Amino acid sequence: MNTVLKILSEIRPEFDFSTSEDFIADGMLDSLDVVTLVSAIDKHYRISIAGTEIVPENFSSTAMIAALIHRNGGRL
Amino acid sequence: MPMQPPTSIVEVRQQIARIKAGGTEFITNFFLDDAAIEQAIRAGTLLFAFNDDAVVMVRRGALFDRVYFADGNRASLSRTLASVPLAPDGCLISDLIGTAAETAPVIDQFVSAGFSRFTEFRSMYRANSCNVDVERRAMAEAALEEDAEQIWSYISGYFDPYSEHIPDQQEVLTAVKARTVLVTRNGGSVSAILWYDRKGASSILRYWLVLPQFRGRGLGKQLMARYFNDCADVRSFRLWVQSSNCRAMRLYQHYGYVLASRTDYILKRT
Ligand SMILES: CC(C)(COP(=O)(O)OP(=O)(O)OC[C@H]1O[C@@H](n2cnc3c(N)ncnc32)[C@H](O)[C@@H]1OP(=O)(O)O)[C@@H](O)C(=O)NCCC(=O)NCCS
Repeated sequence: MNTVLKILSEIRPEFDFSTSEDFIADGMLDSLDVVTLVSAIDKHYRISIAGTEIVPENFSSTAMIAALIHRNGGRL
Repeated sequence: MPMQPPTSIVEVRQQIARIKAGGTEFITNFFLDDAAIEQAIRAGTLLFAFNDDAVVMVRRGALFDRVYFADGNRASLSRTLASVPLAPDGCLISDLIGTAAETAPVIDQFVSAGFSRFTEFRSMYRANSCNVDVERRAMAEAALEEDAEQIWSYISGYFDPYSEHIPDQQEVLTAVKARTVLVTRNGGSVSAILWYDRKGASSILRYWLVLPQFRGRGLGKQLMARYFNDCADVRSFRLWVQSSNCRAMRLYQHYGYVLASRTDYILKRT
């Protein structure tokens, strides 16, 4: 979980991601950030998140992102 | 590869997913959100083509066609890009966003496909708020609907149409109605503009422009003060500034912005 927060803060250093319940609705991640995040996660966890899973809902919170990593074979 | 209009957004997403699953190294510059893709499909301006390694998309425009790609195998990217048809007298524009190290090998692929580096923009964000003299903000105000045409003509007359998304008149009107276009007036007409977009806790500064004869008198600063004041609850202020515009970059730093790691490289093929 801490790793996810660290990756997020590298992408948008101006936010505290631990205080939001919905990164997308709060405007903390846009579509460019999501694609950047996918590539950072793929690299870090040595997985390849399925393209069909790259929808905003899957990036709305650290819990959703952790679940996504898990579903795609990553170990947190 | 013959280019065709996709039947739906699902078809586009499925092809991109297939490329990502099959490739060794996935890269894309396709950052359009669903609403923009759907609008382009409805308008019939989006075309796409795919092979085993890549999907390429072209969004037709009046002045140029914008090229997007999703590629799974970098070695083949230049071949894919070179296959995008160029209309006679036409021009293709594409952009790549990332750090210099990430993008350098991809830019090489564009160059082998006949593209050249056109310009680049640095991403900046406001890390700390800094005191802008808010006393003077009263002189900047939200633009009125009747200002829309003048605002459009200033923006389209000053900014580069290839690299700096010039809004159409409808887009100006929508932003004016949302009260996210600020202006100052001199002698009854608009003398300076600051246009921002806002979503939740994030705001992007789109255009900041003072007419040449009014520069250096504090109008730019009044607009900034009003902007930060109107967006007091925003936590992220971002913008893209042309790397060569040192003066603007210095002014942004003066208002608390710092350089982020991302650069947007604009590539052009004629
Ligand atoms: C950038 C721009 C909007 C600034 O507007 P402006 O009205 O000339 O700026 P201001 O007079 O309000 O000055 C802003 C600050 O710069 C300082 N400044 C003004 N002219 C300056 C100069 N020649 N040298 C150094 N500093 C200067 C001012 O003192 C002020 O600082 P302060 O906040 O401490 O008082 C204007 O020059 C412009 O339209 N440029 C072309 C478009 C552009 O490059 N836009 C930005 C990219 S989108």
